[in-house]
Amino acid sequence: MLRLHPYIYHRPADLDAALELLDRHAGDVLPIAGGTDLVPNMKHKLFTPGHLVALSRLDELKGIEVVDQRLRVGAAESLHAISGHPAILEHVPALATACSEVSSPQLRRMGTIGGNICLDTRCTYYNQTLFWRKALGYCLKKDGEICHVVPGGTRCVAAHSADTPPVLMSLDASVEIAGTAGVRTLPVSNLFTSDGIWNRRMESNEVLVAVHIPLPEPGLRMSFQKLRPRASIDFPLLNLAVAARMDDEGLVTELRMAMSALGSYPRRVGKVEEAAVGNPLTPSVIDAVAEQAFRQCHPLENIIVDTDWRRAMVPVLVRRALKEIAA
Amino acid sequence: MSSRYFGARIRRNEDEALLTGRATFVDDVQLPGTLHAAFVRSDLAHGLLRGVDAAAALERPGVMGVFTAADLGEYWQPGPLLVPPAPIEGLTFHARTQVPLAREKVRHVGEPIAVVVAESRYVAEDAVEDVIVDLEPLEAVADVRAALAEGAPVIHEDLGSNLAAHAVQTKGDYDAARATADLVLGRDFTYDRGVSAAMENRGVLAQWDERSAQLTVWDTTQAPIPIRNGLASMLGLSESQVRVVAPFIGGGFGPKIMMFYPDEVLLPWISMRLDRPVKWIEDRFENFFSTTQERGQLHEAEIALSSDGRILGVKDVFVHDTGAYDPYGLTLPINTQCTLLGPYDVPNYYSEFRVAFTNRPIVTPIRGAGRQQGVFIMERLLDLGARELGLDRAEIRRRNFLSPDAFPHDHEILFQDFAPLVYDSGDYEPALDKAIELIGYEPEGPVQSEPGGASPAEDGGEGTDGEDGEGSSRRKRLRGTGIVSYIEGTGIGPYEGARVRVEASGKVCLVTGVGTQGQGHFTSFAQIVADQLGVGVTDVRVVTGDTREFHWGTGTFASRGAVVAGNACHAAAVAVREKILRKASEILEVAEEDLMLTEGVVRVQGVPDLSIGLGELALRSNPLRGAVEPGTEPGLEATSYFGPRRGATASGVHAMVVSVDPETAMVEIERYVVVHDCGTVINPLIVEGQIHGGVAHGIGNAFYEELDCDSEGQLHNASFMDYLLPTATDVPPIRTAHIETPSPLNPLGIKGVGEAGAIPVAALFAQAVEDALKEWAPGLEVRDIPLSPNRLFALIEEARAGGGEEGA
Ligand SMILES: Cc1cc2nc3c(=O)[nH]c(=O)nc-3n(C[C@H](O)[C@H](O)[C@H](O)COP(=O)(O)OP(=O)(O)OC[C@H]3O[C@@H](n4cnc5c(N)ncnc54)[C@H](O)[C@@H]3O)c2cc1C
Ligand code: SF4
Repeated sequence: MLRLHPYIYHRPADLDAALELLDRHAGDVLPIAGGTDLVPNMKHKLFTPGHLVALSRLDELKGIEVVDQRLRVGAAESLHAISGHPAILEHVPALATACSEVSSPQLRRMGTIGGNICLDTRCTYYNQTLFWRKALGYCLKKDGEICHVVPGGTRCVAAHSADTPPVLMSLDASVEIAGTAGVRTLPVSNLFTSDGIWNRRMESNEVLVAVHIPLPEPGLRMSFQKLRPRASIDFPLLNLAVAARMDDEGLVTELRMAMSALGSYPRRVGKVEEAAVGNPLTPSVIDAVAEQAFRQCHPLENIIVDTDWRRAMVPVLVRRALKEIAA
Repeated sequence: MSSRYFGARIRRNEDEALLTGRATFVDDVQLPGTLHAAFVRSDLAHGLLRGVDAAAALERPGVMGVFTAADLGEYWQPGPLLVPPAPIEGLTFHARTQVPLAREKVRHVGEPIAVVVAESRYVAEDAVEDVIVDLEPLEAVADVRAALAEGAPVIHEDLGSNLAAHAVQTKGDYDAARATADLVLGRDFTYDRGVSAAMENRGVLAQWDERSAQLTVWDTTQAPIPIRNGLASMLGLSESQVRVVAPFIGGGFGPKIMMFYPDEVLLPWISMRLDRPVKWIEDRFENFFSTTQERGQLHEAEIALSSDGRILGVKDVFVHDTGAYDPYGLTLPINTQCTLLGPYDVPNYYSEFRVAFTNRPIVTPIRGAGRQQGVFIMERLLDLGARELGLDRAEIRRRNFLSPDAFPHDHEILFQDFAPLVYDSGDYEPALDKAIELIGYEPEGPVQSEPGGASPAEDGGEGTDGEDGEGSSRRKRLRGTGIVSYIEGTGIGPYEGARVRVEASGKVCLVTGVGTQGQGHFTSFAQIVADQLGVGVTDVRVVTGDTREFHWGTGTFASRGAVVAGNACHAAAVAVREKILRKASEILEVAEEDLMLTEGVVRVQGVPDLSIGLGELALRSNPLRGAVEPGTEPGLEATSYFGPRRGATASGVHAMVVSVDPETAMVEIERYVVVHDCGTVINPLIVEGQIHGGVAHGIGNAFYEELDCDSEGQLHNASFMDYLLPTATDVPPIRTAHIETPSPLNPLGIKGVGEAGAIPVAALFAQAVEDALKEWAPGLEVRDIPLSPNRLFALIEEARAGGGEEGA
């Protein structure tokens, strides 16, 4: 039977109190929002903090509103609330799509966008019970010294598996992070690192307060694509967000593309602008962009599904996104 | 007899309790003072057990005991061989059955080594981690082919190899038939294993009561009576001292009739030793190791056809993976062997199988029980044969169907019940015609999207809109239709019984020995009895799965509940009806022929004032004082048994339309049709429910569920996060139609239906997907199950590169 370790659950009244608790128990504490990622991971003994600090009731982390040409989304807003919010649907429909395609209705009501951005990376050899991990031998990411995915590897390549970060990257969003030292803002594109063990530039006692998305100028088109085996529940095997702008003649003036679920962090796909900007989205231009994206992706066997298939799906999703945008 | 309920589409008596959460499952039984068990399990697939050190665990507060094989003494015995092999000539068979706790060796991951008992499950689980197990790793063999290879590590050393069985069954002369054939087509096929994934895992609660010297065991078993009998004999108790209750059960599907699981043997023993109730509820992770699994087989098959598509003969040589032990004998491979023949006239047949032990969890039947594999092989051979001969897929089946006057039809080989494989009745063409009509199958080939060649992503093709929420752009999807036939041997013996009693309230109590796991027995059995006794269906209280209520029986398996227990209910109800009329005729002084039994009252035809209620009759049949005629039995009660001579053969045709996204290899089922013949139908609503559940099960097996086991016997996806079950979004609405060819083997004419939905789905998937891709990926052949988008993608790539022609 999977069971939780003993811990103290704190329910602070405001952000300051939360930060104070996180600081006081530093090293033995984690924030918890919806718990849809953290609780299963604790049951697998991947995290065993002595203290949990609940974020879901903090007013500072709530609200979806437009301020100063920015859309501010509180980190504790649920994926369900975001996917149906009029301001989101109006300004950043791709974010609504991404939120609505995360897991299942129950989990979307519990799960938050903050938790989605801070989601732990996933791997066949990691998201397993203690019994199993012990049987097979621990790995770098937790308790061990080797990597089962890349034999001889010294770096963890567990898969970043969250659906909203690629969209946020394609929209040039940033995150507001609070710590006892104060508040800082970081573009989502700079938030992640390639270290699959802890892939974000955030300390475990910092709190992600809100996401800020610059209001897209009219004319920005966007698309979110996700590959998963079943039409519900499954984590992405590959996901992709594209934002593009076209002039009156239909020539691309701007193209931003981000992708995830293959490696340990979501990435902007480079060099696609060169192939597209100044051109109309004709099938051959689309193919050129797709080919460019394909060349940049090299999935590893961090999940059970075949890497060849996942890689082959990169250009397919790119083409689909661009066609949607061109339509 | 008026038939108000039999055949009626009525709602289930049990649903109110189930839907409002008031039904009692094993874990709902809470007894004061209960202790909780947790198992120390092997984390190696193969190893020598050098020692177990439980000292630290025993010191943990709340731990009441840790038991190993050594502690069991004489009580340690391998489990029974549940099904001795059928008397096939020249057969080799080695029984090696599971043990309560590993003694010298572990043979699969998850095999229990020790059991910890504590005040709570939490404490017990913590203490499991305190137990130090000294296991010396041995080379493991997880693959069935590798297990039979020369030099493979031997799992049961005394056998000298991993061969558990070898058998050949033949009919006619295949080689001679082959020599005259216009087309001989051979292929290799694999069918991989999966779990049964019942919603409720297994669980046992054992309570020994010292004062009354009574043992009560609540168990999620499909066979409470055999469990009672076995426990009594193992524990040296009288059967009257042991009561086994199988209350509501959240799905059985076969693994819950395996006997005895280690927990079933150990908990009663521990309860007697500690004089406290002991409970164990399996968790989902354990379920992937400690509950039996099924379906791993490798086939090399060949069909000999005439140019007009007639089957001249079939040859099939296969290997069956039985896992670490083989308590179920040869039931599975024999089912495969027999079911392969399907509804067809196969004059010559050569079937040979070998069964191999592997370092994987034990294999016993799961819904379909070996039949899936047989149907898959035969249907694939027919599809590929039809393709080769330029024949229509439905037509090749039609040409080979047994004709309606061929029954009873003797296939000249032995079935799993040791009886010759004889089909009782059937009429296959009407089902095919009906399915063709319902699915809209066009003989020359189904509606097809534009042929491939160009990029499939071009918009505006004839494909349908993508509907999977991945965007609104028009996307090409290729449509294909599949249509397959199958038969299912159901309703086998030996027997079941039922007791029907009219109570003083006028209500009826019906007791039977079978257990029930969601099949609707509380309703279908009540329908059978209500019609005989002229009472409302809700006035019949059905009691199942409690050995105190009924002493005799075997269990719920092989789609036999309705056939065997149903007919016993019928016979008992007929006997009670006779008693009612006899008694009423005495009291009312009217001839029996003039009596009618309706709405719980016996009335006299034409004399509206003269009547007597069933309750009053029941009271008068059980006088408290006075004298009765010598030999009079009290009450309005009767007990009857039914045992068919052999199984009844159900059959059906499944058809579906899929659309395949040729770029991603994602498959969507657009329509699904089942035309089914399970003899006379007691309740169409229940039959459809059984079929729907079965189809969902089959869809999982065909396209989603796969155990990812490595060569060391370690499973990589022991959770529902990674072992993908079909969800509501993946199972389409299913249209059903019934054909009724009553079975002559039982008075009610019933055939079983519990497994039917699951049996032909993989064969259907394969055909429909090939049809959809026939132009985009010419020559693509589906030979391995399960399929998944990434497997299908690889097949598409291979076929488009020209590799699909190989082996033709
Ligand atoms: C069956 C299943 C399917 C799933 N499918 C998907 C899927 O398809 N796509 C997908 O993207 N996700 C999926 N998830 C993961 C998860 O449900 C979502 O990503 C969800 O948004 C996580 O949010 P949460 O609030 O529940 O996070 P939590 O579990 O509360 O937290 C996750 C991590 O983030 C940290 N954290 C949370 N909030 C903050 C904050 N404000 N500041 C700092 N740190 C914080 C926590 O400490 C923890 O380490 C799935 C989960 C399950 C169980
Ligand atoms: S990628 Fe390697 S180190 Fe990282 S979780 Fe997987 S096995 Fe462990």
